[in-house]
Amino acid sequence: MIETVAILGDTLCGWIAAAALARRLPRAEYRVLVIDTGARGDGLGDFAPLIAVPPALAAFHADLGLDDRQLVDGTGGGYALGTVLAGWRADGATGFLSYGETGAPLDGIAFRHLAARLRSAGQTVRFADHAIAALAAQSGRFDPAAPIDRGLHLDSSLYARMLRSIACNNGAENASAPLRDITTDGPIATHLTLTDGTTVEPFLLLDCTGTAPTDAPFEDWSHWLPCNRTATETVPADGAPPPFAQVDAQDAGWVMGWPLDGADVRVACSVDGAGRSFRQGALAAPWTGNRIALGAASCLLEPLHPTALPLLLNALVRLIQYWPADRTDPVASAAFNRGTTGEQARARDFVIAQYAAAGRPGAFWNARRTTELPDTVVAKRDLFAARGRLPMFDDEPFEEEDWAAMFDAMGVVPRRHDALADLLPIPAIERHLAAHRAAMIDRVRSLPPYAQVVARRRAVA
Amino acid sequence: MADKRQRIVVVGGGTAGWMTAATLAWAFAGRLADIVLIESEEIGTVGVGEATVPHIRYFNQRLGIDEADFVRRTKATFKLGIEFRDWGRIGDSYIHPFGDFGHDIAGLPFHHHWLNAARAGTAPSLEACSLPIVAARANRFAPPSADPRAVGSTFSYAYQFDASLYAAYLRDYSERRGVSRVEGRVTAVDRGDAGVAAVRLADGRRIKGDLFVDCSGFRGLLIEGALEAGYEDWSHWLPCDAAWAVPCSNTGPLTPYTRATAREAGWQWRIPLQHRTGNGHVFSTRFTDPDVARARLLDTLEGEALAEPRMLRFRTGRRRSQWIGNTVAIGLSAGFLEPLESTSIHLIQLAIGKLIELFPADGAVDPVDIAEYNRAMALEYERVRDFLILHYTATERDDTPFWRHVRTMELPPSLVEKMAEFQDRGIVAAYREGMFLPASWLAVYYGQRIVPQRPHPLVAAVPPEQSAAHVAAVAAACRRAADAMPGHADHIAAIGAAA
Repeated sequence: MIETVAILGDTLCGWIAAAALARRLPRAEYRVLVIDTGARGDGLGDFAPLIAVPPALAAFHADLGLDDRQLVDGTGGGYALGTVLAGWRADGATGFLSYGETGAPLDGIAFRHLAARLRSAGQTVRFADHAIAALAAQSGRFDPAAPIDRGLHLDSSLYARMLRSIACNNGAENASAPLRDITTDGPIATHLTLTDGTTVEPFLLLDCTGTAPTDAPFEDWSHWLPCNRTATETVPADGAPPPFAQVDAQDAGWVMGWPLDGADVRVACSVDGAGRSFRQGALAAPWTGNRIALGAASCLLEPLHPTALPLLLNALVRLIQYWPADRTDPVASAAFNRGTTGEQARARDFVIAQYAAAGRPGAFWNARRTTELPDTVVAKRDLFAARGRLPMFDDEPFEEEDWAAMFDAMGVVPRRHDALADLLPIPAIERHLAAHRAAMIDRVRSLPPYAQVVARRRAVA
Repeated sequence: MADKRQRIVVVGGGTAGWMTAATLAWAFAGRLADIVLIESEEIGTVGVGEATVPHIRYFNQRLGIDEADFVRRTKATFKLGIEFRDWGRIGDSYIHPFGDFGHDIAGLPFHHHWLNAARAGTAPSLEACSLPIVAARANRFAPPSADPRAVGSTFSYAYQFDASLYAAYLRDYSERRGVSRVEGRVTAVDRGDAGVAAVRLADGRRIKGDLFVDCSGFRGLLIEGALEAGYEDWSHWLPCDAAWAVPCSNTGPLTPYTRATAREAGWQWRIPLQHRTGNGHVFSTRFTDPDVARARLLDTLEGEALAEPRMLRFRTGRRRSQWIGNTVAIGLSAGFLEPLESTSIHLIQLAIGKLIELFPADGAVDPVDIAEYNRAMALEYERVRDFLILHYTATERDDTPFWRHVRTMELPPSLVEKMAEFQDRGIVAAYREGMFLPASWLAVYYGQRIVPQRPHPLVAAVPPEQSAAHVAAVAAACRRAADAMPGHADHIAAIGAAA
């Protein structure tokens, strides 16, 4: 008998799940069926008509036979080499978080410790001067063919359409009609009835609608992450779009800008500001019975960083690894829930920590610094402030370098430095940094202006 | 900076003491710190940690130690894994290798495909799919290939060496880099505001320090004796509390692996070095008499005993805090885990690495650093502990009271969860910290007859012959690569050490 894996939600989230599963599930055993529930949007929080795609998704796309150029050209999107953070710090300075590596180690000592050493000697070292993505962004140069880590901004509905076509080529199907109702027996969804009268008996039911079930235990994060309103607009923009995003801190939240050809997409998140309301948090048990919540149905986190897609993809990898033998599989679901909720909480920590590390004045920002923080955030904040290191836990979606770069961008200066770096002669560190920077600048000089890439694409289109 | 130079006092000169002194010397000697090591020739070192795990190579590399020179001077042999005999059942043998079993197929671990093929009766053994095991069984050795696509890159290796020669080697290294060695026995510890102010020697000398490293062994002269860290006892899970150790002459081929043979109330190690074989019988005094254990060891030696057996007593567990104030415990003073998986030296190495990372360069110790050190080390010890307990609980043996106890004892919840996931469907969850990767867990599970009750549903759908073809290809590649390696003894001879 062929089992049906029913995906609820004709959303980007739903089609990503369908594309990933259709690649992996044996067709003789499983049918992947995407069912429209009337839910609109991307299923990932629906913060904007665009979705931010970090470099970590490259392997998923490659497995589906997609490259960045196809994705960007096919959806009218753009590239981002990093994000400008403006208005976050106490001193008003702007920070830049770049994709890819920053600096290079010397004698096994990480760049950030070398930088701290030079700073302690009174020198100014900006991380953005030592990352190739940041250097390319500053000079407005980029070529998608160059081996530089980059994020993508893709139109969600066009991206979903591309993935739908790949999923369907791999055997996934679109249901004949939208969902009418779900018949349950305890935690098991036994039957789905569609509006044309068709019934489906799902083996698994993947909730990709973007809305968490109201009757399931939900861990509310809003005391740490109080932003509860979001609005988006697309505004015309003249001139060549820069290859980076920008997030401006506001009195009670932030506004992000994603530049596209001829327009900027703006997303605002705020406390009680304009727009639609949302609540941040995650299901305590995203897999219950034969129902598995994915995307925003499982976890809703403000899109300050592009976390939604990596969390979704990692949950799908976990689902394949722990694939159930039956409709109920307590061992598999417990293992899945442990890894998935752990990773969601560590992604949450990153955002909480950024707010807590920001020095911006104001009541909202003071509260972010004085609210009692999760122990896992306190441990990272305190050890970084003490000596620029980070305790890392299981299921971390961000690496140590990401954490260090974020704290640095917020203007946190560790009180002391790495003892090994302290013993390196200053001129040796200076020479090392200068040589690495010169080599990167040479590589950036060989890139075309990003405007040319945009113009060429417009000409082809 | 010279005015801020601190004095670091290392108390104890065994493997832990000299590994610590050597690393501190490499990092700081003459620049940030003056390093003093106090040891007494009256006090023997334990030196049971003669077998290592691959991380030791990074330790040596960091210090700039030349491998051939090291192999010659410590009488080292190469190690591809550990053979476990008589653990799951009497008569069983498996090797826990330093390497993977095959490679992932379509996002799923290889072992699911091996099981699928095995169910149809068409698979070679899982061992045949691991190059280090195939090479070890044939007593062959060559370093891994640098080509990531080659099967020859799918393993790592460690050493088996004479721990006292290694300590001497590192002493030489340390002294050449300015470590001063003080001969003497510590008889008293003076407390101070920072923790320890000074140690007093039998001859009346008083040695002051800014930072103390307690490498005094089981007793924990500073961490327990003076600072009363407290001890978390794990002997209800790991009841062995004593060992007889004796070297014997070499017989037969030089094996590139350590052996751990289960005994009636414990287990026995066999560590082949160039010039002799180290042996030891780890046992529980609750379940057997030391004289019986001694006789069992001597009766089973392969060669002629080269010394009188020495008995060591220990209590498995860890110090509740391994770093207090200005004192860090490294080695047996920090905790004890029996050397079943050769973890002693690795835990020393991890501790040293953490100490360097969190080193109080300006002399002031930050509580945040201490908290992180103690958190990270506690987790490492606990995760090694769980892995060791697995070896005892995953058994069908019920032939002695010892085995009846360990196979039925209550387990730590962290291990119960891991085992349930594997027993049910072959899940091995990876975690970020903790030295044993999924391949190690797989080796012990399958080697000790824990087989998933159900196949992976997505692999069950694959025709067994298709899985069998994957498995056969991996096994054939391992066989070819192993056949191309020289004999272990020949490899040692070729790098200039007399085997």
